[in-house]
Amino acid sequence: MKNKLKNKSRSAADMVSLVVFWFLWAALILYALSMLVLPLYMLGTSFKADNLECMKNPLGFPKRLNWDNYNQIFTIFDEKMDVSIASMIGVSVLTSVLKPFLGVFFTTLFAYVEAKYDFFGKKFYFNLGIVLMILPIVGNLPSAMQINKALGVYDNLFMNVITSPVGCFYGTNFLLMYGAFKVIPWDYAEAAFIDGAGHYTVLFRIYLRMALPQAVVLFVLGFMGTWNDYSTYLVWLPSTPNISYGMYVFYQKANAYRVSLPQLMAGFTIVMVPTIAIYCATQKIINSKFAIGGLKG
Amino acid sequence: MKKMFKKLIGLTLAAGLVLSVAACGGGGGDNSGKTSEDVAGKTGIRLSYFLGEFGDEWIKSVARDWSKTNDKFYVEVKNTLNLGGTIVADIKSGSSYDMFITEDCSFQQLFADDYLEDLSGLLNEKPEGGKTIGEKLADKEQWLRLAGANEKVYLLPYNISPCGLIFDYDRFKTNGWLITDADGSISAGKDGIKGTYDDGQPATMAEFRKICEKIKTSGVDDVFLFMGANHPEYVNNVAYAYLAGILGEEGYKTFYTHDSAGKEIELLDGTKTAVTIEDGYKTWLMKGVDDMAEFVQDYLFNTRYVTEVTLSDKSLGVDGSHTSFIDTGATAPAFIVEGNWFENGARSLIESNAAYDGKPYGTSDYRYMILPSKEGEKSQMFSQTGGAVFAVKQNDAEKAAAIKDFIRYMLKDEIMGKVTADTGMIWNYNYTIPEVSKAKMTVFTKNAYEMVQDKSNVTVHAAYIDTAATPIYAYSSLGSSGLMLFSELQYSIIPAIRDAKNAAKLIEGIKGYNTAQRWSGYLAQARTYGFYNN
Amino acid sequence: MQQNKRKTLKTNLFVYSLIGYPLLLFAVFYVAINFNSILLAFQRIDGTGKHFAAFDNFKLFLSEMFGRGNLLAYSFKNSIKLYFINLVICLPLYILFSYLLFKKCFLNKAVSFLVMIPAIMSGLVIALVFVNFIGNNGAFTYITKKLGLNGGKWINLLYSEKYAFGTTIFYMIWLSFSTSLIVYPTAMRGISPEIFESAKIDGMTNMFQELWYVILPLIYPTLTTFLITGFAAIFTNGGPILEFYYTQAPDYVSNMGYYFTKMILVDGTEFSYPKYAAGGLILTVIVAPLTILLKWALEKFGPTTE
Repeated sequence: MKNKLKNKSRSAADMVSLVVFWFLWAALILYALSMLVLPLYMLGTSFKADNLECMKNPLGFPKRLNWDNYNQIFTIFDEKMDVSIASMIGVSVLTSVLKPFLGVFFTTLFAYVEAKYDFFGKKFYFNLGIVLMILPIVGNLPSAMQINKALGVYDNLFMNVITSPVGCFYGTNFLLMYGAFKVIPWDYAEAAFIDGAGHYTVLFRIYLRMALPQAVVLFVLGFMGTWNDYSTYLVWLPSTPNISYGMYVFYQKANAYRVSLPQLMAGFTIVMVPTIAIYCATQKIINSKFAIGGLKG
Repeated sequence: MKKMFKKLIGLTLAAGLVLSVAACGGGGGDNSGKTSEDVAGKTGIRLSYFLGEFGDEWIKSVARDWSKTNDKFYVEVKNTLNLGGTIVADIKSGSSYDMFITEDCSFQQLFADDYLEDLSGLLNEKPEGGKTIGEKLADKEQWLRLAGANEKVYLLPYNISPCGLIFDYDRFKTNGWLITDADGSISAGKDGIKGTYDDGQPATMAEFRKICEKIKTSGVDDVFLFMGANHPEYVNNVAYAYLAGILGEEGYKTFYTHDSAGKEIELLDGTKTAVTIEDGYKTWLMKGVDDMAEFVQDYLFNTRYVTEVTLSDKSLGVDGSHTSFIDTGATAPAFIVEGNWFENGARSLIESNAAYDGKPYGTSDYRYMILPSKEGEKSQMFSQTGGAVFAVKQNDAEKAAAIKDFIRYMLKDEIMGKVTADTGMIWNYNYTIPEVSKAKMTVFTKNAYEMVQDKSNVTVHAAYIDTAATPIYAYSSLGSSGLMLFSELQYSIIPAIRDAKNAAKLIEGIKGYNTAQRWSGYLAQARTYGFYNN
Repeated sequence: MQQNKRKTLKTNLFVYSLIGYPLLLFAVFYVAINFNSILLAFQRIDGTGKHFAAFDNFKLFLSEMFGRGNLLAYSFKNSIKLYFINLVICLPLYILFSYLLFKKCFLNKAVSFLVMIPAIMSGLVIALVFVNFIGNNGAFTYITKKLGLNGGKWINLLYSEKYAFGTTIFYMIWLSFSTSLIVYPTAMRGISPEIFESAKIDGMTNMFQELWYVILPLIYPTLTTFLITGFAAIFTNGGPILEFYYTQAPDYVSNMGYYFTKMILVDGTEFSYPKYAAGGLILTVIVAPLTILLKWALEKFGPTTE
């Protein structure tokens, strides 16, 4: 009798669990679909004829697909902006490749030696990294401005890129790479050392290759972040705008440049294309390799 | 096909251009108004131009024409969004520009270390052989107060284009919204002459209220239209025009110089006192500031006269508000809070609207509605701009001379008149518009120009100029962004009253924020620059 | 002995050849900048240069932060509210939705793709499109007007005191799932299948049990990382306020992250830098020990994996 009751109550809990599961599923699906609302609205608006059509028909499909908005955006950009659209895309490509590359490269190196070597300062850097992750620094922009100007980094694209890998031994990127190296056994290295390989050979020939998937994940996320970044250019690199900052200025000056809302939305859409492409190509690896562990030293 | 090809080429070349961009730190672009024959073998004068709604066609055209006349130099126009503090920081850290044309004049902190080229010599120059540039300055005394130090003049004026309540005269006339005389004819306005820019305008606030009520009861949603969420600062010009109107010239001067010159002024709490710079914050607590807050509350923040959309829609931008205002429907907004650039900025919209019963570009009889002022005082208007022209100190004397020659060229009546006719810009100079340009002026520009030139009846102030001419603003963290602080770093009255919720609380906030202690901090900063030490 | 020393030296040389450059950058762009920021907090800048100001800047900042109804006071309170709303609403949803993805629910691949959209698109662009979407001429308003909501009038979601803070919270939560819905499912997938098998043998039959007894304890390190770094960022996270309002946000939606950015943008004069540097230092002094305490508590009192 007692057993029966237990079974009964268990199945009731299971039922509730099942209902909650499917309720949550429905919520998740709705949520995921809601992610499409703004991109589709943007895309739809980008094909409308002019501001008037946007005002009269904000929700519906465009009366016809005005591809011309996409052409005009290039023309207006080239006529009005101080830096040509090609240069802005160039800056975007350059920084979106180089900055994440340098950042991921040095983070990987740091994570590797932290995970695999005993060296002077090892514990200090690791613990410092943990402290830095949890130590908030607020309001240091004025000071950063003073120092960057004094060192000639301000408004200098080259200097900005090469000085970008500042926080390589803390943060989620470091934790991910550290975790990746931690689970790879050191046996491969020992075998290689016996065969006469040096430290660099072991690093570049064996371990870097094994941790490559995680590094690629970080690179891709870094690429998307850098591509979409406009505030760095607003504050630090006003003379060499990337395409996102260009769009920001474009938005601010839409009226002086005689840009309509559909043209603006066409510009926003164009800026998104590379990040969508790169994400589509790498979604699988990102979903499987983006794992972050704890903060324990 | 050609466009597509251009696009593809652009994308393909992108990567290739990267290195050149990185190497030369920007540049590129062929949009600076120069042609290859202009620049061949010549040295460029890099001009940073603030691109507002007057557009950049005029400056590029002036630059191109001048460059043709000079064998060694050409002017390369670069559009920027830079104003005040950004330009100061840029020049202090070694600007890549040789000269600036911008819409404010708060560059006083550059005077001490000789960052700028002395333009005092230009004041005696005669661009077209008639008046000197010094004689052309619209308000010479005030301008020279802000433009230099140690007998040097670093800044020359640019434009002072009014900003206020713009309305369509014909629509008002048709609907019977204007003030009429006893015989039913439209009143002459302050200048007493019928057929001028101020016909049918109110002489008292009661008349102004009557106009607003007539408009409202006719079914208009927005008696006043402005971009409350995007450009609330435009409304400051209406609010300060009201304030200056009730304070009068002298009272307004006390308000921003923070010195009553020994005379007693009435404060909000009813007490009367003389104010010196030591307790200068009290001029922000003058009787009249409360009236200004109530005026804003009653008209521009009152949902009877303005919709929530006007007050708070972040998506209501310049285009959206222009589109609503130029609409020919009966419920279209009656006034738009805009400036002289409005019509030029809305040119393409007006042109397309012509297909929907709208009037062709330049033919609508847009005018400013001037708020009533104190008995015996002139009408007061404010400008959103108070721009300056200046040059960075040059090592090359020949280049410095060329820059000055370019400025002299630009300040010819003929050129200024053409720019006014083409764009609506009103220069901060006394200048005569040649007949050929006058014929091309839009009705709106003609009205505005007439109003600005009627100096016996109308004064146009610019907050930028008045603050730049007063050291407590120019040489302290108070800055030149506005005439007064309504709350922390809030120079605009619309967001301030929105945060405070009503006029009474706004006044309480002003009293609470602008304290003797805070004021002494500003004063101490200005004193370190050598001001107010006696 | 000698050989050991040489080996150690060689190892150190190798290690520092790899990490020397990032360490140098760290010394300049982190240590020096923050040290300079600390110095700035004790200075007064005026026309004659920099002067020692003792604790004046700190006093000024604190008096405003604990004042009533001013921007700083609002910002301080809103930042704390944001963290706790995130903790109470978002975290449980992250875990539950991640569980569904981990269980490979129907359409999980499509969901995984769609939730990444906010990370793919520029934050600025999404914010601008959103502002337009809820504007008077936007699609959202079109729908609300059709439904007769708010008497058929436009709903002021960004500036009315009634809705503004709620709108910014909704927006932040709405677009905040991207990273969490990758990291947590990946962490869950890292749990050995044998553990689930043995838990089933022990009588675990439903989702709640699975989450409570197996998954949460085993992804606890990941969870604590996010809790701790989230808390540490309590006063630096500005949310979408800058994108929505630029420098004209109403006081009641402001937060500390936004406050500092706004001040630097509006108050561009050097004179005020010391006040903000002092403010940053004060907030760091408040949050740092609390964060360390939180870390300690989470580790001390958290579940064990046995």
